[in-house]
Amino acid sequence: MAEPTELHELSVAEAGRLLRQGSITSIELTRHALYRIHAAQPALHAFVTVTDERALADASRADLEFARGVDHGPMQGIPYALKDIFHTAGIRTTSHSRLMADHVPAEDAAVETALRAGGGVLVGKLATHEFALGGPSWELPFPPAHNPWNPEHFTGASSTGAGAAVAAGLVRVAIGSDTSGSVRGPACLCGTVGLKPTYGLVSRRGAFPLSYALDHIGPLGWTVEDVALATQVIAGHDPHDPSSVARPVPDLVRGLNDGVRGLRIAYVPGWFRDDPALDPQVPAAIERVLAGLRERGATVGEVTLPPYRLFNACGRVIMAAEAFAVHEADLRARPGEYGRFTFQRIAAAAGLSAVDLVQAYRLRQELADAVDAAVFAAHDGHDGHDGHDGHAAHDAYDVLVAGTGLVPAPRLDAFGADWPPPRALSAMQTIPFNVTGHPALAVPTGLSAEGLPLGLQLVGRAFDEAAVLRAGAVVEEITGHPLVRPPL
Amino acid sequence: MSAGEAATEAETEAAFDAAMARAGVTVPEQWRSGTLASFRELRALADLVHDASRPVAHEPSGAYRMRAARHG
Repeated sequence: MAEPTELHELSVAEAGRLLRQGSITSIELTRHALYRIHAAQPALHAFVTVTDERALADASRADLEFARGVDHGPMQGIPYALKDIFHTAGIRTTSHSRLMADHVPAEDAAVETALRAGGGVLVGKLATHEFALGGPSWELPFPPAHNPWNPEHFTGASSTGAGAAVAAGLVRVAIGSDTSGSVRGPACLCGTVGLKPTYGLVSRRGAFPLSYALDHIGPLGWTVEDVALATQVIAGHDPHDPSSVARPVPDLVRGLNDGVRGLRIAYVPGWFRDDPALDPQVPAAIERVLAGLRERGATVGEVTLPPYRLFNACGRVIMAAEAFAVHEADLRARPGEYGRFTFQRIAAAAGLSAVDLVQAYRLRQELADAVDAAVFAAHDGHDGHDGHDGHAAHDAYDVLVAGTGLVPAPRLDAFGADWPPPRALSAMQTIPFNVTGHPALAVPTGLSAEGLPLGLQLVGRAFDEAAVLRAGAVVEEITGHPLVRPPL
Repeated sequence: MSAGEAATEAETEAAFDAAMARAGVTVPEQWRSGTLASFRELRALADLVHDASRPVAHEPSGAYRMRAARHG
């Protein structure tokens, strides 16, 4: 039997194996997780609500089903947590806001339905920036989450509690949402893995919306395999979510150990090379990973994409306009109940016009097509491929490597009283793939000199999560990052 | 002010006040500075999405589709 102090270091797959052998029980795993959650809460504030009773009931049911030979899949008996924007029937779902502090939904979100059906154990609801936007605020009903690598530092974007909880070993898997980088940002700054799946792969039903066009739901996990297994459970068509795509979900785990020999990898350093906010440790770590990928048989080529500022402008105009539409009535009726950052970010969208939004939607499609043309389509060196000229001859790439956070986690007290914060505090390059919808996996690349996580993102063709997960597993092998935990 | 000209601070504040009034949003006075800064930033981003070189009849339109969904 595994030592109790090591239970949180069991991967989802390892724990599943031991559960099925009867070497451990879900009750043991869950009690261990709950103990660690309560012990870490005063320092990290990762949770808004801890669901002790529900968790122990879920765990008992899982153990009973294992004993009866009933197997619901990889999450059975495994503790997990949800960002507090996902509806949970009978359990408070606050969006970390005063406006919803007492909100108890009647139904579960689609991801919660999937995880429950898969036998998972819900241990709680996680801190978020207010309504998955806002920023780190102390004026809300709940404090912001703190970074386990250094609690005086920011966790990065809105799935804050998810990043903190996974990095601290409170849960192996947490579910977040990503509208401009809120899965990948916390994954990067907290040193975990995080997947923004392809637009339409995971149902958004029952997740409080931020931007209808850009919201994606995805898992954070300690390893690529953890994330692959969780995605396998939450992905799939939902006829009640109009953005959900009806196509089979492939096996996301089978190819994880296939390596990268023969894989064609594109790299887009031009997005951040001249950014004054860039910490040189970030590209240095990415270059080390690229060298490791080459050594293992991948080919790496640089590509040029439309300027990052166009993706950023397109995404932020859409996000702001749609967020205003979501919050219009409360902004009018209850403005003072929002947190300062949230109000300042959303109300500003009153200055956008219908024409701004239409042009942003048009640009969105152009940018998605440009990424496909430059990265995921083959070129023969002649003009006119797909309407885009000037690409050198090359075969299609399988995966694109881009930066995630351009700086390690900044200090929480570096945020000023008002929005926007200094540029370096929000230097994330995640929004392009919310705009285009491509799958994007944040993977750690190591630690900075200050002991804070660094990372990159791996981007694939639409619905080719398997390729980015396969490459991500090799990045893990190169960096050895999963063996390094924050010094809690 | 014509397109492409930088707005003065007074013009920006006037546009901000007009937008908030039209939307029916009352900005708490202590939050005005940050809301105005966000408004200014968002207007600059909106200017970037207006591409005068894009022909009016040029598709893609607002009907978003995932081209790469045809792979695999």
